[in-house]
Amino acid sequence: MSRTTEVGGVPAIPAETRPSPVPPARRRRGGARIPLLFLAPFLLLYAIVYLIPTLFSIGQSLFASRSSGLGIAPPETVFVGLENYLRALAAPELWSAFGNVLVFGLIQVPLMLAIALLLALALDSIAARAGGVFKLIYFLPYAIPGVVAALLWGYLYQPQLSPAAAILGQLGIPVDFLAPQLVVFSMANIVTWAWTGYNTLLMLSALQSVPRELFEAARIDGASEWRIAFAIKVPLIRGMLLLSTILSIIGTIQLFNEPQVLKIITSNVSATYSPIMLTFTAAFRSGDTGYAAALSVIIAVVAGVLAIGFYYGARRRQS
Amino acid sequence: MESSTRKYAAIVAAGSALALTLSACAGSTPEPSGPVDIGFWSWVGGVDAPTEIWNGENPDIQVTHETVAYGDVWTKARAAIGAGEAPCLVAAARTDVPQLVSEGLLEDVTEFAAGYEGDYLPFAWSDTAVAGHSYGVPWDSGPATYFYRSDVFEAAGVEPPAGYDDLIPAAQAVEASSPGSKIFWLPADAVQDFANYAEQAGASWFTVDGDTWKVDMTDDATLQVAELFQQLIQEGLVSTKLTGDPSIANDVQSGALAALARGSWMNGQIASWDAENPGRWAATLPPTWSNGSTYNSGGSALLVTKGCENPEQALEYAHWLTTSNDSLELLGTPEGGGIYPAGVEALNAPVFAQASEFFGGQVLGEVFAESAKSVKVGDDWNWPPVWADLAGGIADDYAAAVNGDGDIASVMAKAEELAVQLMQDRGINAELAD
Repeated sequence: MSRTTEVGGVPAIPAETRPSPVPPARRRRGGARIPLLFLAPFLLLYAIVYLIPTLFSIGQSLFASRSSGLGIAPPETVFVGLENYLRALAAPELWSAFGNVLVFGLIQVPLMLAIALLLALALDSIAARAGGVFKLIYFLPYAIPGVVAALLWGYLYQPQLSPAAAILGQLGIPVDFLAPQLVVFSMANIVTWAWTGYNTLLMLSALQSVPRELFEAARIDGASEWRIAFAIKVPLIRGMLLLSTILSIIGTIQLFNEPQVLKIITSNVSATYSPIMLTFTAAFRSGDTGYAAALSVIIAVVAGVLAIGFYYGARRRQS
Repeated sequence: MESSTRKYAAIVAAGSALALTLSACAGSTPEPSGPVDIGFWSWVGGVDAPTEIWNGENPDIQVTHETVAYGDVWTKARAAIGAGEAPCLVAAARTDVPQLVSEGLLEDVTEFAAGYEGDYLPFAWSDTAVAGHSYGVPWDSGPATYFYRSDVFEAAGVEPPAGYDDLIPAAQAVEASSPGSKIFWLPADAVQDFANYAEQAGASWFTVDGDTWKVDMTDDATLQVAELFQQLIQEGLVSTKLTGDPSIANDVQSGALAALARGSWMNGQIASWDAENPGRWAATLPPTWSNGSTYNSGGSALLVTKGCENPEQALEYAHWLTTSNDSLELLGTPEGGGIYPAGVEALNAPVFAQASEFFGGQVLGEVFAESAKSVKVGDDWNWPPVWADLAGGIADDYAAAVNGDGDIASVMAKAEELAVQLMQDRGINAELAD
């Protein structure tokens, strides 16, 4: 059931060979120049803020600075080829950092997306007037800067200051949200709190573009609202679910704010907890820019491979 | 043959060019050649006020101060130095100086700085130099001070511990009279503190031997400190909360933390945490070992950046800012930045002679000055060029040990191996001391 049969009727002849009032060569030339003109501002910015820094980082990752003697004379910058990469790949802390975010992602991403989907379905089925208020409420946490959110939650987790821990303690359930086994859930909670509303809105916008007639037809056929939600709505917004998941996977690889802030109040989060923290440490504590650049490239490649892999994996299952 | 002649000609040309430049310099120095502009980055906004006074009095040396957050100042300065647009003076934590030198970010100003050496406390001066080369002047110091709740000690019938031998008995007495009350704070994230304590006991972790760093973090002095702390930890007589833990404020208020040894800079923090109860906190010298030495806990330096064109004038201003009464009168007040100086005479500046209402009418400046003058260590203490990395590298193990899992002595054994490796990785000569 591929798409090509659906376009049937239109003859499969390339546009250029069809008779046309405009000579083909001229049309092609003009056609290439004008879009390029419109794209120029974007391409320029893209090059300045994305391409050039990326190439610069890759270049930097091939160099290291070497001191000599007591380290008093200014260091020399030497070309070391792939040495920074080999050092990073052999470093146990890089793998444990990836392990940490993997565990984090396996817990947090499905949970957050499930909640976001349920909220989006609920919002989609209630009246539009009330929906606006709820949309705002769900979206609000996303508007709070990540570091501020992590600080706020830090106070709610600190055993002595936490009202939640105090209430649970009085109910006879002593909880330390910062305990070694629990701290990953506490961080997942902050991220979920901040990003669920964002994902809800993405999914809701997809849901609202689904033609309403489909629901009418299903209702006439006797489908329940649950049935409509899971047999019609969810399959129709699969594309958006895929996008949300990919964005969440990339976000998880880039985990930084939450562990960086919680590390201030607990020893159970180390300075090399996540791959980005490791990079941050290499760049700003060790001043080892070449190594930090190599780590950044590795993280980008891993995030890219995971996102693309997930995309193709999900599409294959779909077809 | 021809190439060597050409090389010779090039050397002669370069040499005469250099001679010309030198004579040009020598010629221009005596006669004023217009005002010199000095840029200065620090995290103390209070510096603006004294700088205005300086600029008024010194039309030839105009200083522009810019406030940059503590955590960002060297991130920014690294980039600016690389681009050749850095200010002449940048403030830095004293422990970072050797690393900044090894990154090639600082200018060797030994010839201009030498004349100022006698005006500063020796332990602070030694932190601005590496192996006999100076890179700036000390800015402030943090003479260690024991802040304690006088009422809690009175109730327990003990004096604040004067020596480390008295620490455990005093802690036990306080625990007996006010259960849960600790009189020592060993933050689990502060490897830096442990280094200070080891230095106080007479340890010398990093020494320069010719062209090589010798590392010894397991000497008798260090092990003595480790053993005492281990005992405090085992008996549950010490608070190990992290330095940034917000609940420390509650502990200071409630008496759960009834005493702590920190740098002089801690006084304002305690006064604001327990503001509702003036008069019950007091300050005295920290406990000491048999050498009777206190120690420096914190402090920073004003450093001259690589490529600064007027290091002499930059230092002249830096010296004035850190030692003159006109400057300290402003910088020494809480609103001005609460700077406690590292200058010998500066300790007696009038601004530090005021009685503190919160500390029961005590003149804190007297305690701080006495502590600063009682620092007998530090002249030969060096921070290694990899200190931040080393402290970070052992942070997890140290935190575990302080929280009762493992022991500090074996963390130090691991640390000295790591220190050697970190330095060697950068091409710096380092080895374990025998």
